Amino acid sequence: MGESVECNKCLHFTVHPSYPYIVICVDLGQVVAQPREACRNYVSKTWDRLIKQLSESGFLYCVECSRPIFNEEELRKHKTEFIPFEFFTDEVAYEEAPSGD
Amino acid sequence: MARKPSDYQSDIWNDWCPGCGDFGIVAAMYRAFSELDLPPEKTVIVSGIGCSGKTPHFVKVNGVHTLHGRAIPFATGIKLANPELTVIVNGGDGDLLGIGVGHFVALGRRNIDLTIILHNNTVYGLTKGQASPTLRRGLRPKALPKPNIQDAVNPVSLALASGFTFVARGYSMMTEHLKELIKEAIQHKGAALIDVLQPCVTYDNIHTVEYYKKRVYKLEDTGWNPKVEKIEEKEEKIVKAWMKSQEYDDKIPIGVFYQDPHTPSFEERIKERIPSYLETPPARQKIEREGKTIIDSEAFRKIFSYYIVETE
Amino acid sequence: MFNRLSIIIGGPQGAGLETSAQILTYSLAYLRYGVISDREYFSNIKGRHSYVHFNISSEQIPTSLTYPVQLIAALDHETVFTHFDSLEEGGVITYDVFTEEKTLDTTPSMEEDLKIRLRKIFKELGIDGSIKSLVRYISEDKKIHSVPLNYSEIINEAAKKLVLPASQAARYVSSIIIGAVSGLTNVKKKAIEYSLARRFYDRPELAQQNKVIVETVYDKVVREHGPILELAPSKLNHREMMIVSGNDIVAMAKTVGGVRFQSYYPITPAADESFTIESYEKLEVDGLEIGSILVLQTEDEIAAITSAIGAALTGARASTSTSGPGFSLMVEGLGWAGMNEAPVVITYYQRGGPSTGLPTRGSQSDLLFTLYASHGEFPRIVLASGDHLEAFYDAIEAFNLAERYQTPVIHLLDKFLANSIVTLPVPDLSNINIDRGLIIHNGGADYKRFNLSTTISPRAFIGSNCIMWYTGDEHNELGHIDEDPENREKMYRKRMEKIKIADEEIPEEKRLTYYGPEDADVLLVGWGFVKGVALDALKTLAVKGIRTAYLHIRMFSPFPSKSVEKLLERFDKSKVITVEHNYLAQAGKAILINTGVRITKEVVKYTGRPIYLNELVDGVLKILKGEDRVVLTYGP
Repeated sequence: MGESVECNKCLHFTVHPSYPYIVICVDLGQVVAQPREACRNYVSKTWDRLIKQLSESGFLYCVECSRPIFNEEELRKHKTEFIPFEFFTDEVAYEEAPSGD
Repeated sequence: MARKPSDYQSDIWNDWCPGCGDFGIVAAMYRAFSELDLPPEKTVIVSGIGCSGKTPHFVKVNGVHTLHGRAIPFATGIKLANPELTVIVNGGDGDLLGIGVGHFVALGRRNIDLTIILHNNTVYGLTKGQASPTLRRGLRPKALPKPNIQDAVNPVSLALASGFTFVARGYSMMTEHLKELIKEAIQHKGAALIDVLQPCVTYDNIHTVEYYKKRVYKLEDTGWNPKVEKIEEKEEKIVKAWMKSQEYDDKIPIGVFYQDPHTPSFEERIKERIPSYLETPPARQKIEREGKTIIDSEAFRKIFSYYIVETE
Repeated sequence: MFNRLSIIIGGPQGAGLETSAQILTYSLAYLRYGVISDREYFSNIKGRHSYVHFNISSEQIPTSLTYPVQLIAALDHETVFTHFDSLEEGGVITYDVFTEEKTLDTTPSMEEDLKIRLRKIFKELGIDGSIKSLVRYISEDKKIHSVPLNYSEIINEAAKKLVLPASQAARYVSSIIIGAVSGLTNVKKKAIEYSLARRFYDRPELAQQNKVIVETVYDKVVREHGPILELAPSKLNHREMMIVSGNDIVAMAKTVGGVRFQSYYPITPAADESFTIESYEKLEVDGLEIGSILVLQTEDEIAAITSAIGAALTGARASTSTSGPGFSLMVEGLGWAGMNEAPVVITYYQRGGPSTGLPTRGSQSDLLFTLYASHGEFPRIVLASGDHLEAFYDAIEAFNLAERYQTPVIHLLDKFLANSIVTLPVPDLSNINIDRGLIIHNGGADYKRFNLSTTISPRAFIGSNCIMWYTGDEHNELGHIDEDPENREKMYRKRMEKIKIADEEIPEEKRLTYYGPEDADVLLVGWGFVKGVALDALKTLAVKGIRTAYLHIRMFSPFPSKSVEKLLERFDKSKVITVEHNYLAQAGKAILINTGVRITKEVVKYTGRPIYLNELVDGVLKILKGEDRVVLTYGP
């Protein structure tokens, strides 16, 4: 690893969907206070990877806009925003969510 | 110019949980609709209640968001009154196999040309994660106070037993594959079920993306031929499909389990009795002439002569 | 000679009674008599006691049933036991001599309650309780003319002359009854012959066999007894008469009114309507198809109403037909239709409740349920028909109102009407209009199904050139979910105000009818099947010097409040009486809710049997003597 890379470019890096200031590494399964230098499990979140993911799962989700992304055109619009690869499971969500229907 | 997948996206903000498998289902629908170039005004999505119930609002075709469990009979009325419409039902496992299971079975008996997309996530999401009819006994997703003591119903097995003539399973995170299933189901002339495995990111900590990633495999990769080529094969094929549907532990097959193009659809059965049915179905008949009934006194006497006595 | 006759023919259910009744009714209609007949039967396929109660008139089309009767024709002994008490002095009973030794102990199909009551009566009368003893008693003490016939001998004689297929056995007994009744009342043989030919048009040999039996009995009865109950020649001059049940007439009306989708789940007493519509699924005139109707038997009533709503969204006139237990299941669907402004018609034949109640008996106990069924508030239109002709016009109007006001319409009927068969002039169709309401065929890209610029938004059909959304959730103009308080208030009000518009547009005189002298002293208030008996009661009471009027309510939502209030003001409170087939006097409650006027006098009946003229008149007299409430119970 030549120059230093921050871990927010890693596909394990995600944020809480409701509180984007809570930063999480899904690989470690813990809150990482803020982006730090990439560890050895770093996997680069490249444009190609996002495209591939979009094509396979059919959607991505822009956490900053709280909107699903269904195609490349939309992805391009959200290019500079935070699009996680994976969502961690928030264990308390079910205790917090109201009954809705 | 053919319609793009994005042409089917509505402007309504989608309030499903981030990461929900429902996004994969609706994404597959956009793509399938586009590839089939379905005219939005001739396409109807009918849904029940719960997270899946909101599907029609996110798709720019006609949408009918109905009652819990009743999407199939609403869709039945829409389709039979106007059979030129493409009618798709989106329902949850609780909706279609719990409160509405009678309608599910009845649809199989009728073989109406409807496509049923079953959002199968094993829990009741919008009421806080109770066990759905597809949750297996002994399991305890995190919201359940105690492990589930009811057995699960297998949607594929039940559809086969009920008479569905197209039975498939998809996985919400394999959108391309699911899209193909949706296209085939829509093109199939008869009752079609797609059981879609769908992780609930909020309430189901068992059936996660990881869980399915390890288990799901494609039937077509094993050389599976779901199609009843000749009507004589029907029994053999349905038994094989049913046996296959029981495989649900370490490995979970997805793809088309069974397809029977021979059993007449309900629409064809009606046409046998009313030959003009498909040309002039209930929705497209004229019932008045300048504000008057098309049955006038003379016609009335002729039609209902059985009830009229000419007196002495 | 008689201008009016009441007759009961009774026998085991499913063994010829229906054919007897049908042939007799055809024959009477052919001779231009007016007929109404009520069918009373148990919740049973075959074997329990069933009877048809006729009222026949040579002067008018009768509208009510009454006791005592002048003739009982018994297919079996249970009929004699059950009805002997209903005979007028000087009346006639015809029965099978073979049953003379029968007693209550050899009548297993009879309910124990009735047996207990009868044993007590027999004991008091000092008779042994056999048919023979009973007939002897009524002949001597009540001057009843008995016409015993040997049914088996008659059939055996016929079998010697004809080849009688065993599969039709019950019809031969039914022909004995036809022969006896027509001989005693002097209904011409020609009329019977016409009716048999009509009934068995596709099996002329059956018509012939039955004719031989009918004529044998006819001749024998006339020879031995004479036409004791000879009907006066009819003064009516109809050139044609319809013979219809309530189910039949509603089925015809829906067909005329343009129903194109009818769903149903089998239930008594509604299912026959759907059967009739289905048998006319292809509407053909001179071999040309002028339309078709899809009748769908669903898996339950929930599917019945929801599929009908689905069909309605595509523009087809759609309805379902049911009774109380079925409507209970439909209630959630009803609310969806209200929320989504879907025009669906529910034809609701009330029967005795709660729960399974009296499934084959009549009732008017679901009025309040109908008015308020389903959670939340939404407008609905509730029509209630008083007789077959009203039912015909209302069944058509129900569709017009549903589409005009984009709201569910409930057409309330009852088992009495459903199953009573009447002679009826062919309804005039020239004044019937088809009003499809505000329809937009070219909705276009900006179409909003729930456009708030008008209270009733233009309705486009699913499948036309635009797209639309519907949802049971509160929604915005497009039909998308919207929980905003301001939107909620506007949408809520939009829906609710439709009933106000309906109230302004539908003339109150169409929603009620006042019968009787303007200066009447006594006012009966009723609805549904009460109409017929109330109208006859006015005449009987007038003869007794009591000037009585009848207020018939035909629409309960929107309620004709102003007219009702004004009318009620004219009467002394102690002389306003609601007459209803329920316990609570529910129409009285509806009047109280809508007008604030409380009616304190009531004549009610909830035995499942219709209100008979004789008991209604007695009931009114009791009220006028100061009673507040009279509960009627007449009829087996």
